This record gives sequence, C-alpha cells and structure tokens, in this order.
Amino acid sequence: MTVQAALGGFKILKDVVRISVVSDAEGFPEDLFRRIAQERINLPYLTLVSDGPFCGLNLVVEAGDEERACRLLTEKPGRIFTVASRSAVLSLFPHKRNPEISARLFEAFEQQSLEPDALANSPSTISVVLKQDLIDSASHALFEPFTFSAYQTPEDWKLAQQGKEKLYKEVVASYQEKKPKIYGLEVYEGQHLVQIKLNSAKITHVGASFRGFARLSMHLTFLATGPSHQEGKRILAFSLPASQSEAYGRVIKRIAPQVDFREIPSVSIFSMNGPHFGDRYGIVSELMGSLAKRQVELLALSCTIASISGVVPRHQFELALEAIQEHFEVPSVTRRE
Amino acid sequence: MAEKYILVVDDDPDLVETVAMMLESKGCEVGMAYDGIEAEESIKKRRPDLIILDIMMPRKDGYILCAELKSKPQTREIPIILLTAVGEAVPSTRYSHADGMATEADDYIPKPIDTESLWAAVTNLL
Repeated sequence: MTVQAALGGFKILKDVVRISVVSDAEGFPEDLFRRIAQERINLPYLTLVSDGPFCGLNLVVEAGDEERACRLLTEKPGRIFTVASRSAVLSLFPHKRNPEISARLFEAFEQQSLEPDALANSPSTISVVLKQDLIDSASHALFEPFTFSAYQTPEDWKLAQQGKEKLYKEVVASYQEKKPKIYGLEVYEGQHLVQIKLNSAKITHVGASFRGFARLSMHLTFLATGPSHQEGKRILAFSLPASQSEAYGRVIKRIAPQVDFREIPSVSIFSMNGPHFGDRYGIVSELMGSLAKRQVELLALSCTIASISGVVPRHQFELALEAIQEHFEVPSVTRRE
Repeated sequence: MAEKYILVVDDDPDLVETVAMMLESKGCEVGMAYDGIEAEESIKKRRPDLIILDIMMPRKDGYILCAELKSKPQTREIPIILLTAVGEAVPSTRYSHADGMATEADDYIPKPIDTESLWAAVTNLL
C-alpha cells in the first residue's frame, strides 16, 4: 500500500461555467481578452494552448457571466466547442512541482472513474475543472492518496468551508492600481514544452507517466490542457527540463505508446502572482496585450488561483520580460534552471 | 539565518509558496499553513522562531490567532508579522492597517507585500 502524501489542503470553486473555444484568427486571444476585461468579466481559471496556427482556450466564468461571455465569443471568429454549465474548479495544494502529486491525483480520479474536463497548474496548486455533480466524489477521492493536516475526513473539510465572500469582494474591489503589482516573477529556463494530443485516451491514464517523471526527480514547471482544433481531441501540455528530454520521452512512450506527442524545444516558463489575481478582471488582458505589442509568441498559458504561468520561446524571453515589466510592477525576478 | 524555522500562514497557496521560496533562498526552514486552525496545529507540533500571519482567513482569522498566541506563556515570545489587507480603501472592514497595528503583533506589512520588505522585517525580529 502506498504511503499517503501530506498536503496543505484543497479549495473548490462552484457555480462556474467552462467554455472551450478554438480559433486561428489573427489577434484572436488578445482581442477577446480585451473585450472580456471591458465587460468586467473575471476569469478565475484560464488556459491557452497553441496548436500550430490554432489557439485553444479553456475559460471559466462565473455562472452569472455565462451569457455575456458567450456573446463576446460568438462575436469573435472563435469556434465554441463546449459550454459546460454547472462546472466547478477543485484546486489542490501545494504540489511543490513534484509530478508525483499530479500522478497520485490522476490515479485517484481514475479509480473513481472521474475524468477532468480541464486542468492547470499554478506554482503551488493543481486545479482541475469538473462537472459540479462530480465534486463530492472528487473531494472524497482525494482522501485516499493524500492527508491534510487541517482535516482528517471529507466531512471535516466541509465543516471548514465557511466563506467570507462579501468581505473578499470588498477587498478585491479596492485593488484599482493603474499598474498591477505582483509579488515576484519566477523564470524557469532550459525547458522543453511537451504536447500530447489526446484522442480517446484519458488524461488520467496518460497522467500515470507523471509518476515516472517523479522517479527521475524531474520538476514539473508547467501543466495545462486545452482544446484542439480537431473536434473531440484535447491537448495536454507540460514542461520538463530540456536536459532530461531523452529520459522523459522514454517514460511517455513506455506508459502511453499510442499517444501522439511532440516537443517544442528551448522554452522559458514564467510565473507571476499578485493579490487576488484570481478574483480580478483585466489582469490577463493586460498581460496578453503587453506580449502581443512586442510580438512575443505565447505557446501556452495557465491562470488559476492567484497566478499566471506562461510559456514563451527562450529566445523571446527577455522581450517578454520587458513587456511584463512595462505593464506590471515587478519587484524581483528569480531565475531557475 | 540558518536553523531558523518560520511558519507562513495565508489562505492564498500561491502567496505562501512565493514567501516560502524567498525564505528558503535565505537559508530558513519554512512551515506552511493555510488557515488559523491549521497554523495552531502546526505550532503545537513544532514551535516556530517566527510567524508570518495573514489576517483574512477562513475558520480562524489572523487577529484571533495572534491574540491567542500572545496570551499564552508558551507562545507569547514568538515574533509575529501580520500581513494586513488593503483596509484603508475598504472602510467597512476591520481588516485594516490600523487594526493590524492595534494588535499585539510585532510588525505588520501591508498587502500587496514586497518580499524584500518582508525579509527586512524578518531579520529585524530574529
């Protein structure tokens, strides 16, 4: 029997809507995010995965914003694949960039026949988007592979969830900086971005290869899923150290030999977090606009909890950094290999 | 700063991670907790040399935990840095800078925090 891993906790955001959209139109994501910001629609969860000329997005909006968000999407040349009302986001933390935590989560879900609709990492958290009806089963499943010091059982966890929503909204509303301040920017260089196109294969099954990455002591610096332009397919994107590309390639081929995977070499991963970024509209629009202005190619993006993580070609990272520093107050930049 | 054990308590896991990485890079050992009750459990298991404590948290907020720790002889001497919210702009909340200063905390840092200012406050208290 596997020893349970001790984690800090998990959060659940209910009553949200997941929208999947793909487009190859020029200026698609930045135009869309500018409009979303103008409409003051918050995106508590967002992933972007580029697939050649196509850009696939998984957006999560609050239920009350569904109609306006869908209207904006249909006005743009985007193709909406899915609008999943009554969704929820479950966020587990901290993963410490250890692929073992992701692997355990996927295995626990697979045992319960739970398949995430979408997932993404922040520096501390793995966020999974599920149908809201599955949230109880999902939260129960977490207590198999993990322990949480603050609660021993799912019932303890439920008792602990007493929100201060009104107060949070007041505090969030008070953040109106012209130049949003972040706590710091962290950069991982010398990475490869791996994209696995999933057909009928489940994310949870392919995720078993993450246990192999953990055995090789690799750090998982980025993780997100996005819709593919090929209907019915989706893309699992993650980044690992370039220096270990042969080793992780072997792991993927051994565990999931049927999958179609490709590598985008020499990328940089940046992560930045700021106060209540997950609750404030306009933050991602600011970032996308700044990168587009400098013609930085954004290969992938994930926004969840209070963080934004992005993947750009390594040769464009300094340009990306200049863009971010122009639009955000960045007190420090920490570079890691 | 080797050998110093610092407990970081905030319900924003990304902020806990940012602060923990900064402290670890300075040679500190870091414990993490995500609400007041969990922090209390953690302190019972291992006494920290300093606590960085958010105020607005579920279950038990930072004010209550700070007051409890400062009222007990076993924990009274542990330095506490409170992370205050943007209270000046939110008059209806009691989670303001002024309220933070009125507690028995040893220092307070307004959010959004600057990690270098936070480190300066930590070194000042250890």
